Amino acid sequence: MSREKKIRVLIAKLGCDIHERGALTLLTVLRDEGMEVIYTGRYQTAKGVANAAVSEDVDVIALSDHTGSLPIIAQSVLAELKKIGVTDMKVVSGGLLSPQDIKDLEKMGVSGNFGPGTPLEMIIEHIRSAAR
Amino acid sequence: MDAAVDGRLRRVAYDKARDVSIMKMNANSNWSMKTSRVNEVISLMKSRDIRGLTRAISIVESNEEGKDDLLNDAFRRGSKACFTLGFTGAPGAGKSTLVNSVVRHFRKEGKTVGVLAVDPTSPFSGGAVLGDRIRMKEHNPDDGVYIRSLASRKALGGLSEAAKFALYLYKAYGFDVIIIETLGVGQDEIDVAKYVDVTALVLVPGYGDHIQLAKAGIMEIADIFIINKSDRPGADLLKKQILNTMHMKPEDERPPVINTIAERNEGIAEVMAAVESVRSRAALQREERYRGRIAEEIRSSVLSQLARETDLHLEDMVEKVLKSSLTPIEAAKEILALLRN
Repeated sequence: MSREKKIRVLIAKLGCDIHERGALTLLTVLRDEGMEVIYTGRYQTAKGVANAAVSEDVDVIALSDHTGSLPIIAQSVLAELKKIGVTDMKVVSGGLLSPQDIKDLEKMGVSGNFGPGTPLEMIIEHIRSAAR
Repeated sequence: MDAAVDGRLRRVAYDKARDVSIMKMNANSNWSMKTSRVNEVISLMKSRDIRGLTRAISIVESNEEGKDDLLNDAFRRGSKACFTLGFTGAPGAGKSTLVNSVVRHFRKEGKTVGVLAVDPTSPFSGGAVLGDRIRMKEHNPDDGVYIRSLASRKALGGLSEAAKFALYLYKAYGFDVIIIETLGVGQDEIDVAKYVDVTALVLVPGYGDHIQLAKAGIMEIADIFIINKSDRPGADLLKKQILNTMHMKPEDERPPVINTIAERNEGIAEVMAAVESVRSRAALQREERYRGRIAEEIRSSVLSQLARETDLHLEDMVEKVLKSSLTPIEAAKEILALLRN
């Protein structure tokens, strides 16, 4: 009966970033891939995102940010998740990233880390494998 | 029959048979593992750990092993004291924004709130965008509010199958108030009224003329009418039209009609007052509604079990119909006979 299990993804934006095109694009693209996608909307806090992810029992948190602060954002979300006892949540990220950011994110266990121009198929495939 | 079609059918039958055997295997070999997982979820629920509730809903939603145990436990422990409130109405009428304001109101009174929000599943891809949370984001960091978004999956009627059962899980968890928001509905999706104490129907100016209001279905289930976006032209007219539909009812049975602008938090205090007044009225019919709800749930459980068992025989019967003179109606009778044994 595992065929009834759908992949659930939370797309989240933290802080003051207003650049929402990426998040909104993924929202519909992942829907078309048969996933259930929840969007937090903009201006979230780390605690809000952690709570939402646990409440929704998602398989993957997808962080989107275009202010160059993804490592800080990811770190704060991971810390909040830990506070509520969740240590096995898959976190992926995408947006504006420097090579150093990618290294830092990977060290934290955040995967994907897709920059501008990444083909959608790559992102979809990555989320599918992360959700497994 | 041409060879390609025949080959394809055989392949489908083969895949199906494999699925079925895998399903049977899973059901047996993973049994002990799954039971212990369900017990863990139940004990998390009992200690009011939100991770218990959230996993329980997932198990119910994906129809996993142990679902029945979870629901039995929830049904036995469920509090009858908690108040359930439903919001329904057309897409974009402002249901989520209204729920957001109403939750804020309950939180000021110190009550814990559980929200179940349903959005539609794509009939094409099976995916869904669950966007109700966006309007309620101010409550994300609040531990006294639990919001869960559910996709409608295959259900008609404005709720998902899981939402109906998740209600018991919410009650067992013990929220003071439970709010259900349906997906955007039209004329005939009235399931929500069977499951909650008070139903609010959210309309917006421009709904239609008095004939639309006279039509059967959704207009009949409203305990409260809310005219949202009342800063738009036509709000007063709609209010008059709604009041006109109920002038034959005794005054104390008429549903309140309230103008709101949810985005600016206007009219919410009036909504809350209306909820209070209707609530005592609804208490009289509570017993009757509760009976109806139980009947509905027994029916729904029987049907879903039946659907699952029917699926096991479906491919064989399709083959038989294609290759012999058996008609689909006779095939259905054969399946029923098999299930009876």
